[in-house]
Amino acid sequence: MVYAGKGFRVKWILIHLFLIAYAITVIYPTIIVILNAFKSNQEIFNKPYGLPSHFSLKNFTAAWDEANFSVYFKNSVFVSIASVLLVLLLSSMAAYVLARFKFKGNFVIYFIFLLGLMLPLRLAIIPLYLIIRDLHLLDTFTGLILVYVASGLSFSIFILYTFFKNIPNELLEAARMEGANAFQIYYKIMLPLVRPALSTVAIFNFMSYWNDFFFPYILMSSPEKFTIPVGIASFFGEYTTDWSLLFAGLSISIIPVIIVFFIMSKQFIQGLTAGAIK
Amino acid sequence: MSIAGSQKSKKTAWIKKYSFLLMLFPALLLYSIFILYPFFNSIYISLFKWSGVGPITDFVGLDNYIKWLTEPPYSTMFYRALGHNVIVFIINVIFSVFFGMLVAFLLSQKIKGSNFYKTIFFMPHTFSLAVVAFLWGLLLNPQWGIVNNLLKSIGLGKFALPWLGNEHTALLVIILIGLWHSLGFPILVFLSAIIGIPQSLIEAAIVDGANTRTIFSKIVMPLLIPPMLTIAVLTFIGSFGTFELIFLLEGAEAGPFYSTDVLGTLFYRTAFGGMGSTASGMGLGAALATIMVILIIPFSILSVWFQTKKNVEY
Repeated sequence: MVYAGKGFRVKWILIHLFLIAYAITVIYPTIIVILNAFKSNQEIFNKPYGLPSHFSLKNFTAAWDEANFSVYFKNSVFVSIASVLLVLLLSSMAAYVLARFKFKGNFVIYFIFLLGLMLPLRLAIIPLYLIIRDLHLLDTFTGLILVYVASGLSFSIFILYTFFKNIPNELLEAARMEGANAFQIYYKIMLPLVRPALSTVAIFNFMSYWNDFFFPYILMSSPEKFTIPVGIASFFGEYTTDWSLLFAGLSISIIPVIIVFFIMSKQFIQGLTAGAIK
Repeated sequence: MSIAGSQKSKKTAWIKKYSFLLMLFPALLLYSIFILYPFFNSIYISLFKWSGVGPITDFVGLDNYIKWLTEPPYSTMFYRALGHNVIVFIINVIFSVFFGMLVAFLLSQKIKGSNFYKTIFFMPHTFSLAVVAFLWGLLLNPQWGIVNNLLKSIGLGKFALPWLGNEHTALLVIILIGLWHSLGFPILVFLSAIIGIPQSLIEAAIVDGANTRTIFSKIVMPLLIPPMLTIAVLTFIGSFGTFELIFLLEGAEAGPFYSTDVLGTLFYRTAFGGMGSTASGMGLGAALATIMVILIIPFSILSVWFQTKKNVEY
């Protein structure tokens, strides 16, 4: 497959043209949203796709303070981080026990956890809603976090199990000889060894919690407890024609994600495609 | 005394021996309460006529299922929604497999900036679907939206339609919005498969005198079939679970005139109201959910099977 001279150049130009065209379809809508967040309603209406006449943060502060985005943001941070920490703790302990100890029912329990990978939890929302209601956890962060942790267990255990399995036995034996108990071995030896897998699991779960609309929409009812995806839905219902505020709200939702994504794109891509890519 | 003592020490020894199970317990407890129980309970509820309040007493057997599958107006709604899910799946799978493979192939050609392109293409995948819905809702706004504005400015003014408000275009536009969000994923899956093809294999084939077409059909294609299946299966699961974009852009009624109604929105309406005058039907909703689980589960099993197979190879 040797290309020479003119044909060679034409081929590369065509490839780049195609890729650039697709990149523009992805970036352009995003940039339009961010640019319009700096404009007044009048300016958005008159020239929706130019640069703003001046970069004023007025719309951003309005969305942040008056339209509650500060609250949604804090809630999203709290719920996502708390759920990730809990799911990391519970799934790593469980995966460690399942991968490294022999006992009756060991494999059955692992299989039951894997079952969760096949069941889309939102289809069980009716009983789930009723349980949360009966536990008096509707409209509480506790209820939402418990659902998130439970929903993240299967995938996390699945990924961590393989890693725990692959840790050589000698390390464990040495620690046992020194009298370390199961928890100490887990905490001091096992966890540091599976750190790469933990970060994959953390990113995967964090993104699914951070972006989830469905569960908070069903389980939360007070606006001061909304996370960003539900907050933005109620915000669009409230300020239907205040374009500048809407663009600012959308920008506040996507800019942090874009920044973190570009800083850690490798880890993100690895985390979000885990399972589908070797 | 000595017997009691030895029993006690036996007991503590047992506790010590099995203390590791304590570390399994919290995960198992949460999983049983919030995942396993709801699924079994959902099947149970689906056998009753129940509006959601009061005790569950009115056992109706498989009536709720029969309603969805054979009795209008339920069956009309069910098959219409199912048809829309099938359309969503077909368009999605075609784009995800062919477009995804094409872009991945181009990215694998050692071109300048390939990492940059890869990152850009994947970016929308990190956005919440709620954000994506409203972002495109704003850009497609019929009175003022930027898309129509753009069409007019390049002389295609006659195509400036109320895209999301027109029953002939709404579903297609929503599918395209979904693809805008998700296409980065298949691209990366195919890219990693193509990069994983051993260069030595191709070189050996060239030495043996194979031409480009033979290399592609005999070496590259067979190695791309596993990722194709993975993407097709994941697309199926995604397409049959589609809900947010339609719910947020077209409402629980999946307008205009139910032209975007899928099983997800139909399930939501049935369980949480919006079905018209009647109270919400938890029994009917649970039956619909069970039907959906039955539709999805063979594909979920396949996807988990693909994943475990990969993990074994580590």
